[in-house]
Amino acid sequence: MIEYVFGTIFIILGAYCLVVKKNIIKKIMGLSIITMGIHLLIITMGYRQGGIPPIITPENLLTFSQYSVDPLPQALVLTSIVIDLSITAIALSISILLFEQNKTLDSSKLKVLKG
Amino acid sequence: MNKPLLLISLTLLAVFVLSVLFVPNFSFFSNKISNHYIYHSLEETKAPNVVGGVVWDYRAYDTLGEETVLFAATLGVYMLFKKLHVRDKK
Amino acid sequence: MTVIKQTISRIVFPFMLLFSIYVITHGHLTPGGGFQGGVLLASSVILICLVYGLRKAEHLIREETSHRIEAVAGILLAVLVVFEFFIKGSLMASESLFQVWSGGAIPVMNVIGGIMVATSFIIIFYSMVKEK
Repeated sequence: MIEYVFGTIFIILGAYCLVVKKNIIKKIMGLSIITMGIHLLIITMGYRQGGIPPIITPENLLTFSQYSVDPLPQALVLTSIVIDLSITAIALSISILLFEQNKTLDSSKLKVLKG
Repeated sequence: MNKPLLLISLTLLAVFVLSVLFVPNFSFFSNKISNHYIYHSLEETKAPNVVGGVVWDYRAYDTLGEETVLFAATLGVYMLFKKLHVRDKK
Repeated sequence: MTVIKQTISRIVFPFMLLFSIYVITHGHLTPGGGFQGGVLLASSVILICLVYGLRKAEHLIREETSHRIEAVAGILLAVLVVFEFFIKGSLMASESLFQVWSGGAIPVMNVIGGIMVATSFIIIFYSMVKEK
């Protein structure tokens, strides 16, 4: 299916950012991009042909169960977004502490454990 | 980057994209529990928002665990910056 | 910050506050709910903190107050989720659907979840901006 390719491209770009770039803040952004690609892929898997959003209104009480999309991946992705935020917040504050100690944000110059 | 690393990474990229491209078309739900959520959500939880009913009624323990993770992360950020400010003052 | 930004954000701030309360309380009727409304509520306070400085934002909500509100909301949410099966039909009981005052225990949990997420965001932002 052609519409699963876009989430996969996000995952591949995020993995490239995480491995190749040398700045620590860019690596953390790559981690967040991987998470966003996974969310997009999961929500796209729940689509249905001619689908409507899973909200019941007084107009579509009768035809709701025939046309609505899958509500379960959307509920799981809601939880996952908040967890991604917590990971990014702690990773960025650890990188500030790292800068205070080594005076550089280059990941190829980090050779010494704290001592 | 050097040549073999580039070749291996391009091969892995092609494998990843092609494995997603040739998936058969399914228009019904492949998991049976979403059918139960859509059919019986209005009479068990009396909320017209099906996603809100799933998050706060059927899967309420997942939401409790997520709030615990958020609370722990807030505590961690606060303590890390307190240590930074104390060290600057010395 | 310049005068243009201060004037515009002073006009926009009450509308952001009202919209976030609307998204939280209508969480069982329209798309939205606890987390989305909580993020909007925290964004309005962060806008004032960015434009006017930290001292003016402390007049709105101080950091110790946020810590206490978050602790109380956490305990209430844990108690409400564990005992949700028993008190599901008696909280906000009403026979009419599609109204604001209906829907079992879901609107109460939306409000408490929204408060907890908003105060967590505010604490994280205040820690990063505060100097010395």
